[in-house]
Amino acid sequence: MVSMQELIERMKHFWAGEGCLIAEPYDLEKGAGTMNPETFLRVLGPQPYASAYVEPCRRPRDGRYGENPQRVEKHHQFQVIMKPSPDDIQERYLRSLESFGIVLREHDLKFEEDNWEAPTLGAWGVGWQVMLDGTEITQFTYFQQAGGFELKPVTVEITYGIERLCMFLNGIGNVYEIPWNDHFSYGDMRREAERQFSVYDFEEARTDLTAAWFDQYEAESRRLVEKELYLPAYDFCLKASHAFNILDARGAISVAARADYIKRVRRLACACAAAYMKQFEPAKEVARG
Amino acid sequence: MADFLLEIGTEEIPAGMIRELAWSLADRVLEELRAAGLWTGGELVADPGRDPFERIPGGRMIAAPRRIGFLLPDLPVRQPDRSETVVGPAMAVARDAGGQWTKAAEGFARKQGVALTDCREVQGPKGPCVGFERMVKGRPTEEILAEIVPAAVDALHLTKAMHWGDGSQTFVRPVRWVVALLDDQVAALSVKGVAAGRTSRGHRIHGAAAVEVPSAALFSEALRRERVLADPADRKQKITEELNHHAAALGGHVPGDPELLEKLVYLCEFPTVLVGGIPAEYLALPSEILVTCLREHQNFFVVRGAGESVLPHFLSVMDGPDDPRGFIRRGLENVSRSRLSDARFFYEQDVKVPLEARLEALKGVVFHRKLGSYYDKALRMEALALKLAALFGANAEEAAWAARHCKCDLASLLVQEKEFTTLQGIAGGLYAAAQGQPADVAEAIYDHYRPVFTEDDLPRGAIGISVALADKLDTLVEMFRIGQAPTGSKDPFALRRAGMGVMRILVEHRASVSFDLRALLVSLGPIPGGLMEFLEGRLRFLWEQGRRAAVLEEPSSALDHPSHEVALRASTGGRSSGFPYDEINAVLAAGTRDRFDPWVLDLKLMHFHGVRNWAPEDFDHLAVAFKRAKNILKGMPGYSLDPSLFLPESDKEGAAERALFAAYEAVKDEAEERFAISLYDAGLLELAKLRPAVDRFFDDVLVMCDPEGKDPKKTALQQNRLALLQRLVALFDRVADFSEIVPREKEAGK
Repeated sequence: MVSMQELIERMKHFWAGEGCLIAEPYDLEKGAGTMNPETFLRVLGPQPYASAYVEPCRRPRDGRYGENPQRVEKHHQFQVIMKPSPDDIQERYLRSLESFGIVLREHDLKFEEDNWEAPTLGAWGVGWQVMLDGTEITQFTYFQQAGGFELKPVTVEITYGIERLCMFLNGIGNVYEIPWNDHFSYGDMRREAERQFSVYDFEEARTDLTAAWFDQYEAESRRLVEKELYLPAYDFCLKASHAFNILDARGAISVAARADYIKRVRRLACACAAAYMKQFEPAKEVARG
Repeated sequence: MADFLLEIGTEEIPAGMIRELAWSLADRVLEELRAAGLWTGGELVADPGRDPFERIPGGRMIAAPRRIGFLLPDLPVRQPDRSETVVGPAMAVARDAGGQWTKAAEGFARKQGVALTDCREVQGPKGPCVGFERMVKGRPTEEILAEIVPAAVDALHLTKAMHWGDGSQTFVRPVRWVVALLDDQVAALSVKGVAAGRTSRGHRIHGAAAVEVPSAALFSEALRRERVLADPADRKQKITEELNHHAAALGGHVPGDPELLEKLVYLCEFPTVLVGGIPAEYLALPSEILVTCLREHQNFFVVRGAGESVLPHFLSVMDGPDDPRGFIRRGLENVSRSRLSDARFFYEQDVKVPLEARLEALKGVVFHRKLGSYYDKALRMEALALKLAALFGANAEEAAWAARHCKCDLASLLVQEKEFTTLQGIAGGLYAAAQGQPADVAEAIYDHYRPVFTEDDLPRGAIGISVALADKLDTLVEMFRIGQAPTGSKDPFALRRAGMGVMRILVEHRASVSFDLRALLVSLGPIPGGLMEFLEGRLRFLWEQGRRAAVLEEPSSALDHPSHEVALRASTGGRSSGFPYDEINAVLAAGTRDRFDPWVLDLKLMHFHGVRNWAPEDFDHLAVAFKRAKNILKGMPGYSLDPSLFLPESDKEGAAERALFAAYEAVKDEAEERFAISLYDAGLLELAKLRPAVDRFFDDVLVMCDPEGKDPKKTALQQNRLALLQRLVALFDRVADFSEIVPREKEAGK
């Protein structure tokens, strides 16, 4: 058996060896590792960068009260970004799978087209879902745009679903049976949280309050970004995004309103990206007074 | 001579784009080689069902997930030398009156670096000029390839382009290596910043990371050894053979699924078919759901046994030679078990909820922001289906029920899942049947999206037609009403497909009948601008496609109306390119003035086409005469005919006009009778008898004998002749406007 803990160790070890900085999860709720400023802001601008980190991701709509063996409200991604994308990035990725304990010769691996788009981030990329014996284990993306900016150089993003991969490695079909380490299972660690957050997301979350929060977070993000404090501004953008996800899970958003909320979050993200990008503008000759 | 091999190595190109990219690349390079005098061989075949290199013996296509390119046999190693005429100033200025070269000629020769003694008179684009011949040495093929290959790659149309690395290059996926060989020599060229060499790459997992290719001709073998079948035809053959082999061993067969096969051909570099098991407990699922689940989620083929039952095995295509430890099969089975378990859960939950109970939920499913929900649409469809049911003789109550509830499955768990959206309609039909609705109601719901694609079946019964038409017509009317008519390549609501579906049902369905579609639409409210023209355009498009001809040749098809069979006999058959455009124009020009009745229009066209083939010369003559008649009659008021006004028989003109009138009288009633019972072909054959009299009339009679109206007697004569022509034209117009016909000889001479 390969425990969740052991797999994460192997992932960090492998990608550190490829020159990635090993970062830590960002301490706010978010739906995907891409939203960590470590990815969202770092992919912008010209300077090379490479990092890898575990990111817990919350998707309120996917909660199943801890009862569905394959769907959870909170899952873990292992995120790798490298800028510029190395020429042999696919080979490195395949080596990473071998280093986790997968003998590729004994499996069927396919790179199937899957272009990624995050409307709330003004971001899209081109790439694949990596299918191993029919299971999607990785999203592999060449970022083309983020925060509304064209990206040059191009960042490659590799997102492993840690639970999926761990289930695959151990040949098990139930997420709660994953060994977290030798003594604790995934169920021990996560099931109660899944139950409670499902109750909150689907039943208890106060929609009036959450909608009001959304408005406040949005206003605060806009205020801060005007002062060029793009990092705190981006935090409030993430908070707004999560508030939207909860409203969505509660079924409190109509189809028309949904598009509007997405647009509002995207505006915040794009404003933060624009503020961040200012540092790379060619210095203007200042000759005043 | 040398064989030229080009392989552009990339990261995995999306399966749906590979063929088109490889084909266009080869096509562009061939075209440029031809222009450079380096290619005189055949062209690529465009038909996706055939080998593109069918007309180029020794040529091969390279089109796999990680590579596109081609092998071209027998290129000259350099362009042939050729002579070229250099043209200077016109002779008028190049030679003086005494026949001596002028300063202008001298200047030309000096500039070109030739002696005046080598110059002579040559033919320039505007007349004789001074000039000379010179030999142009052909350039080496390698040099030319270095120009045209990168240009051809740059010119490829990419539906979604990307950047990578430093962002300096653009292509469908990153280019990682290039192999370019003229026989066994590397051709010096580069593509997207990558210099060509002879090192290819084998299968990602089952082949060598570096494969030295000894020569162009040995490429396929070198790659095959490293588990890459570069030519898609080889992969297709391997998959097809293995599918058939395994299916036969399991005692069944694999129903053709060209789309899935094509996808898998381009998802693998070394495909191998693997057999897996479908857990028995899921075989009780309706086969539509079972098959869709396995196909959409996992690209599996199912095996069907006797009576089209689904056998408990799936066939999957893996990218590699084998499954040495059974991990792959087990992995696929595990994934399919969890998917099937989801599907069964959805189905079982859905069946418990009667379709009627989902109407309320339909109010929350948006059809279009400006057009409300699917509930609103269902109510409109119900009203329309009632009118259609009356026309097609369908049970009104059942048609209304089916129309009202056919969209209810949009609110079901199953259809809301991404992978099962293709089951919309079908799922509703299954639920209706399981919930005890009458068979033809369930069928109508099941079929109401049909025809979904060009060759798709039509809805089955009269209720099915009513509901399917109500759905499509409602969408068309409403979308046109809010200004969403398709423009150019933009057709987000697939209105062209809906229009095509309407026309196919109206003209091909055995239960279809004659009625005025325009009147039906008017009964719903004002017809949105452009809709009638759009529908006529769809009918025209249907006729222009070859498929209607195929219907004609097959008497057992939906067209078994007695008069269709007459057309069938008269048709020469064997056409694959649809009806001639002039016949389409003729039928539409005459047939849509008062009503728009696709069923009748289609019948007229088939009969017209058949009879024209029967008597092409008569038709050509009549066409010429009708053009004249139409020109003469343009803008004229209607006149009444008085046979007593014809000139006497003894007069040449009188004889001709009397003869035409007599001939008209002789066929008129007969033709009218035939037309009245839709035997347009028989009626047309009557009319064809008029040809000699019409020809004689136009040869001998001056119709406009009094153009300025000076002589009252002559004016009466002229008006009488116009009246005769008007009657004649009106009779022919019952079927087609003959002036639209383009005579065959004339067309051939163009």
